[in-house]
Amino acid sequence: MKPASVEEVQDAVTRHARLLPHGRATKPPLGSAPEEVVRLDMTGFSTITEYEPDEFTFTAGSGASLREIEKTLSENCQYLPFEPPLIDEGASLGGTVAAGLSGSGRLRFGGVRDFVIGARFVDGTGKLVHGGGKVVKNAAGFDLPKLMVGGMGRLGVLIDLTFKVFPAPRAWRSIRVSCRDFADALGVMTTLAGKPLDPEAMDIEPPATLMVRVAGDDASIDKHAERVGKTADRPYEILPPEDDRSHWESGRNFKWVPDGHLLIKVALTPARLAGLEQALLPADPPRRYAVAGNLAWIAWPADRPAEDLDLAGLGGMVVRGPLPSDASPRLGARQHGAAAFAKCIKTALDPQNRFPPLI
Amino acid sequence: METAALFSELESIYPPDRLLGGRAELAAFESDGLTAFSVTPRAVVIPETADEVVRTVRLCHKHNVPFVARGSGTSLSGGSLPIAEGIVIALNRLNRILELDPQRRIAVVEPGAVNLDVSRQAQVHGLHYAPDPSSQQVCTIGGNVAFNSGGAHCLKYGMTANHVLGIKAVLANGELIELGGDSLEQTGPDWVGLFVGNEGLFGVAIEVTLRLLPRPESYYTVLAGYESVEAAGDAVARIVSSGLLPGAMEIMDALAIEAAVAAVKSEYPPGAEAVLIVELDGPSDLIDAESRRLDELIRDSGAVGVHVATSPEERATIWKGRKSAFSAVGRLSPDFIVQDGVVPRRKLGYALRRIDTLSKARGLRVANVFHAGDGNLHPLILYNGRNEGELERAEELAGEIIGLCIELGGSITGEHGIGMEKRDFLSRMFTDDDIDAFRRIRVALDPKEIANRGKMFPGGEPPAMASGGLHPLEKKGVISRE
Ligand SMILES: Cc1cc2nc3c(=O)[nH]c(=O)nc-3n(C[C@H](O)[C@H](O)[C@H](O)COP(=O)(O)OP(=O)(O)OC[C@H]3O[C@@H](n4cnc5c(N)ncnc54)[C@H](O)[C@@H]3O)c2cc1C
Repeated sequence: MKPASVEEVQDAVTRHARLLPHGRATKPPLGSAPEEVVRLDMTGFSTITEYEPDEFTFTAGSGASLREIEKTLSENCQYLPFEPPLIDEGASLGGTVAAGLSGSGRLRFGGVRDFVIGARFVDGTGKLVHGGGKVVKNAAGFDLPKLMVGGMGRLGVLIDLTFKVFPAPRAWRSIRVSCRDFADALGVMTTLAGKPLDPEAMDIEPPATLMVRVAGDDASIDKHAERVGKTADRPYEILPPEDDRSHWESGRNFKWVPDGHLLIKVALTPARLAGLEQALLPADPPRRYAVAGNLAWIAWPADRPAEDLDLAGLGGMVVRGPLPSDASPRLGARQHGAAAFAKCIKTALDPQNRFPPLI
Repeated sequence: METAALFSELESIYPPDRLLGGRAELAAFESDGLTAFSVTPRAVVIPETADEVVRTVRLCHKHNVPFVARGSGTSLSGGSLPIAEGIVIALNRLNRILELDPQRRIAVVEPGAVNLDVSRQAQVHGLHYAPDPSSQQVCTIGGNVAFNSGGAHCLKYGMTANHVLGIKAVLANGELIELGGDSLEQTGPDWVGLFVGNEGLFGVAIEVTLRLLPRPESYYTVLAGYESVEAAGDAVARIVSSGLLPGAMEIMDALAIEAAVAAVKSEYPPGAEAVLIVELDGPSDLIDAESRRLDELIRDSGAVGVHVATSPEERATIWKGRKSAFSAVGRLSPDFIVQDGVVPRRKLGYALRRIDTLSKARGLRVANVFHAGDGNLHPLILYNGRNEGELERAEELAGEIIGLCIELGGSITGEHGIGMEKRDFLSRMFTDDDIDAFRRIRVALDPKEIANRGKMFPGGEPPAMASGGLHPLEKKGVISRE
């Protein structure tokens, strides 16, 4: 079902006992549901409805393509610093918010949660609710826009979203540091992350490559990149600008994930990185560690039992790949501390469980 | 409500010196930073452990007695104003920094930990806690979390919510919860994001995990004078659209300048009707290049005088003038009201002109000192409460200014929260359905509506008027306001 107006969404929500919205379906596992649901295709809400370059904010429909949004922003030398993933695959704005996905660039200024400033959604009672606003700073009312981040469409049907954006830096450089082994890469990363070098991104590509991206002015960027390399105190190379761009683009579009693989996101801390790497080594799946050790992406062969995947006590979420539609995308450990809170919020916004349970 | 039953149970938790009920003892808790109002609570409890907080909240829930969590009581919107039939849970003794890990760059703190103390402890490791409200010497992390507090550096670094990774709390329904953790990332709804900014309506935060950042290596701080506030506002627009991302951009108008000069002997370019402070921060090699761009922009912006801080001391002097400006203006008048509405940045000049017209029409002076970079106004309305009808006029003017912010597509509060003061404006920014959704969330977490009852939502009895003027700590010169 593809609604074309807010009223049609409201109508669908009040009429169907079980339903689940989706954007451009780039992350099918997140649409899994334990029982039959009516699927709401939100690509009817695809326009950028407001964009004031001077204001550094925009509002767009939840089905809007992020690639288009990025294009529009870049025409005005602006960008979304959190580097939303999967944009070549067609990722939508609402899907990215609902999935709570940010890319390597979230290190410096924050993730999707830090840039969304307003949201309109239809809740489980069919009411149109708006939270936040259209200005970059706002403390009025509960922060519903943030609540929508990672809600996987189970707290409401996103209609449109307002974001703040930043001026795009004039120049970027990426430094590829060749470390001795994984432990060494981790050590160098920790050292760099504690220094005032303002990296935009800092990823480890196992076993021993550390990628650091910095941004700045044309006049100073080379010097700064050299400085990062020297501070790392390991052999390094500064990528030529063409390779630089394609490196991060291929990263955020997961070109490194082989066909037939599940893509798994794991949230972690640098302190748990060594343990995770240790646990993954025997199976040795393709993987990357992004955001200075706060985010792991793991590619796992779909035909291999997920039980074989040892996440070292961490929890993972399958965001892409061939997962049966009734299988939960959750893997590994779960945190239970939020359960009571989650139950209250879900009941408040969706008392009749029209949307599937939270995952 | 079973207050008597509650008290006898509280006596089994707290020794007499931490369970206050005498008139004189309660006096210190009657008001917060919105000094025009005061309410005497039934009692104040002073827990020293998180467990005592949990037990207290559970008892309040059991006996149906409302409570207000209180940090340092610097809320400017009446957020920590007591409830007459309820108790205050004073959290100042729960002020430990439980863990500060330079490798993970996090701090785990109790809710009563003072904002600046976190940065001070982090400083030893070359780190800092970015949100810096001007009240940072006294305000607590618990208060910051409740209000999603800001400061001068939100443009680049964001508000409190952008720096909180995990929260342990006791909900008003007695449930103990743990939201988030210590990672920047998560794989589920952003519960922490919802909790921050709840204005004390969900329960009490008992432990907070904060993100620390490396301290910027260098700063480039410029103070420029302009012939009008609009010209300063235009300079802001120019700087923002040039692609620079300053850590802070602040404007003071003529009245604020006058007050700052009188109070802290700040020096400003002669003839300046407004000053703009712009600060770049970052790695020194990058700042060198950016500072040249900023110099050019300021030169072309029609500034009547420019001063660049050449030492940390000069930088501190510029900030001292800025951060003390509000209290300084406050000294010009027996009473004042401060608003903190937000307007779209490109409409700053227009908003300021309108505020000027409105202030003249009401015959009241208004000083403006504000976070220009993010459009967050801080008009300070000066009045004398002893003059018949002046407070009412001041409140009407405040309402008109808030109305203006809404009309321009902004917000009724950028960082001070709705609290008690602006609850009747909530419905001018949100529809009934929006507010109903807020209310459903509140009631789900707090079915008896005991946590900070009477705040944020429209309606309810207005509390008693008290004196006005500066916060007691401002009078002593300990803090100043933005
Ligand atoms: C001179 C001055 C300057 C200021 N400058 C700024 C500024 O630059 N930026 C800014 O944003 N604000 C500013 N403020 C406002 C104020 O300092 C902030 O709102 C601050 O966060 C309040 O902290 P507090 O510890 O005083 O909290 P309180 O005033 O004690 O409480 C504030 C709210 O938080 C709730 N609360 C407190 N602790 C908890 C907890 N543990 N769990 C749940 N709820 C809790 C209270 O119930 C209340 O609703 C200023 C205030 C003054 C007086």
